[in-house]
Amino acid sequence: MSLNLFCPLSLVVAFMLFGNSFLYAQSQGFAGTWRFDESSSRNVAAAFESGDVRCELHIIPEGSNRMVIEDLADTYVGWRKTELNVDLNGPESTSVWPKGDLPSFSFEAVAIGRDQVVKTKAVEGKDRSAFDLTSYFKVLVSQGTYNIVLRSHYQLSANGDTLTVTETRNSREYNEPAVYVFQRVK
Amino acid sequence: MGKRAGSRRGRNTLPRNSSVAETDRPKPIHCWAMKIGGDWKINGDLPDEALVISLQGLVNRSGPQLYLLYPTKGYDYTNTEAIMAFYHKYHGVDHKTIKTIPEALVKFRKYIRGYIVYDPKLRDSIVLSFTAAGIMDGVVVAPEQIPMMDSLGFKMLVDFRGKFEGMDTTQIYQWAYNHYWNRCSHKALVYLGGAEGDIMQPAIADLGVADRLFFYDLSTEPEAGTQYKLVSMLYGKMRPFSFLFGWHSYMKDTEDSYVTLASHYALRVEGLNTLPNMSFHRWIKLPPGYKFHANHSDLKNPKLEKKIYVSFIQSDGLGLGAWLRPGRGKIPYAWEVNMYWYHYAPGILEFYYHQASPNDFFIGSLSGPSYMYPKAMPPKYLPTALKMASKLMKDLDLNMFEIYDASDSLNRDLPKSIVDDYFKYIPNAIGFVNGYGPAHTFAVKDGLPFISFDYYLPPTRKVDEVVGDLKELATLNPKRPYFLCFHVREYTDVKGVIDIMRHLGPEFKIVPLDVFMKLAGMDPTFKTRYESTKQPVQLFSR
Repeated sequence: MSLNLFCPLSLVVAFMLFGNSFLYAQSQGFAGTWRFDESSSRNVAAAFESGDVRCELHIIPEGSNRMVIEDLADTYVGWRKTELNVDLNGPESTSVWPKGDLPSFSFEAVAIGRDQVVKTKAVEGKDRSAFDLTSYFKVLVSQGTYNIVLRSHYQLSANGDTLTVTETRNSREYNEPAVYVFQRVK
Repeated sequence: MGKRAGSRRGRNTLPRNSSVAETDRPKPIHCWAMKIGGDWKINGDLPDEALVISLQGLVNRSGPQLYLLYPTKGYDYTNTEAIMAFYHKYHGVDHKTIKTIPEALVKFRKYIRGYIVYDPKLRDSIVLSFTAAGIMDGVVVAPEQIPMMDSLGFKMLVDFRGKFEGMDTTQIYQWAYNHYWNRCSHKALVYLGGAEGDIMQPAIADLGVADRLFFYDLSTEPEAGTQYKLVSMLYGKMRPFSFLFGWHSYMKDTEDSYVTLASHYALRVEGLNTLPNMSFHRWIKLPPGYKFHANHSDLKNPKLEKKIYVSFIQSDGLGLGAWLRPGRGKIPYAWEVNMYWYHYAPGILEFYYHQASPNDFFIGSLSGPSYMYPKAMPPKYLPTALKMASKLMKDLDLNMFEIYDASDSLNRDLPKSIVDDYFKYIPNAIGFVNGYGPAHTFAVKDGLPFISFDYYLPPTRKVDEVVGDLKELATLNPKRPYFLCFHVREYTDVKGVIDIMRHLGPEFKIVPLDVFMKLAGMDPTFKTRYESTKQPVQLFSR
């Protein structure tokens, strides 16, 4: 085996050995409980007439480059949880959301129907402290349904204590995107 | 912006929207008025406020003698001065002013048997002191007011200081039930909730004292255990369609749990705890032959365009919100009518019907003859409730009706069977609106629409955000016409809504609610949808 060939191969092997664990480490960086910080957020609503109040994100690593993002809204009668399966740089993943209001919208005329399947594609950023998530799903509106493409940019702060999620969607014109800020619960 | 047509006007010397000869007006009423309103703190101004309100209940039992002037700013109901001015002009009500509490006590001495002393350390003792005041013909006082009462020659009827030490809330109201329930009138109850902590705003207590009602402050949340059991027992003792006055406690339970439990017993919820002067208003009778005339548009040949039709309804009933604030009358706007006032306070309704501009429209509310949740109500009572609502709508010349049901806290939608009941038992409606925040129940029957709100304007949303929301709704609902029913929380005045609409293009067209209904029935671009079969959303404990 020539040295010229060995070098690239060793890199591949090294990546196979350590790359996934590095991605795992990255998802570990996002992992944890994140408390919604309304005062730092912009162009979003924290509370809805229905009584739902946006509260927390739980980001749970699931090995390799996968994680689950739990979006928890506090309702009068308990937490309502929306789970999103994320596969960083992996193939499109799917999730099923509970029916009800949609936290990503700051008003309530759109809702998720029963057992709505959400397809998600996640691409990690260059600095590995960020990733872009594109979600595809259908919402109920008064005239029927509408196909939403929701683009979310997840950005960790340098010290890892603040998570900023910047969102845009295909149904809305933006002067400024919606910016959700979360603080790590230690 | 839409135009309305076909409003009816009375003669210049009469309230507009009335049809009665001036000679039929009742005889002059001479009464007294006092200003009220401080910080409502238990250790602040509440002692004076509670005393005066309980006194008002006693003296107004035999006639409209004492009217309280609440602040015109910073209080839920800012209309007390305006209504008195109306009564003066159209009902011959003259008032003299009482400036001090001792002056009032002396003037109305013959109505006062004595006083009830509450324990300032125990909020529940203040609540039940109003029950005692009603059945013992006494006024409610704090310990520091005892010298004043004694110096004026009044005797102590009950002293609650230390009486309930070691007892919890349930035990206190159980005690009150054991000792007072049989002496109370059972035509209504008063939930003296609302603001809690060191604040109490018991304006509704005049009505409760006047009618010798039972007051309570018990949680309607099932998790509240003994409190919930006791309040359920109280509700179970009421005849169906009895009234629940006051309001739920903002610290104990929720509006949803309160109205759900009340509806389970087919009781009629009427807020708020801050509603003033009800013992006075019921004496102001409509002149013989008086009929309410609401504004109605000419619906014969409405022009249907490929527009986004927007119609506004202000939340939470007449008496709250933007009526007296800037902008009213500039655009078509609908107002939720507290229909029970037809019997309990017709003069207030007359005031609003009189003041209504050609752009002010009225809609019957809420869900039944009062605030009720149809899904929580035993099905056998729903037809009766809706027939009662229908009758009140006829009496008040209303032809649109609003429904709100939050008995399922995650779902504001209605099943088809209940929607059908609304069409069946309120046949005089030309349309229905459902929700508070947006909901997803839509239907059409014989050209009459059943529509849910598509937008709710909370007090915190900024103009540019709302404009963005409305434009997004226009994208999400691409067919034209698009019918966008818009619920405005009472904190936003009409001028604020006009400011929002100015940022939208000519595709958005504001129309009166009845025109909106008519057009929606003609071309229902919304999708018929009902509450789906019950499938509970899984929730997680906090």
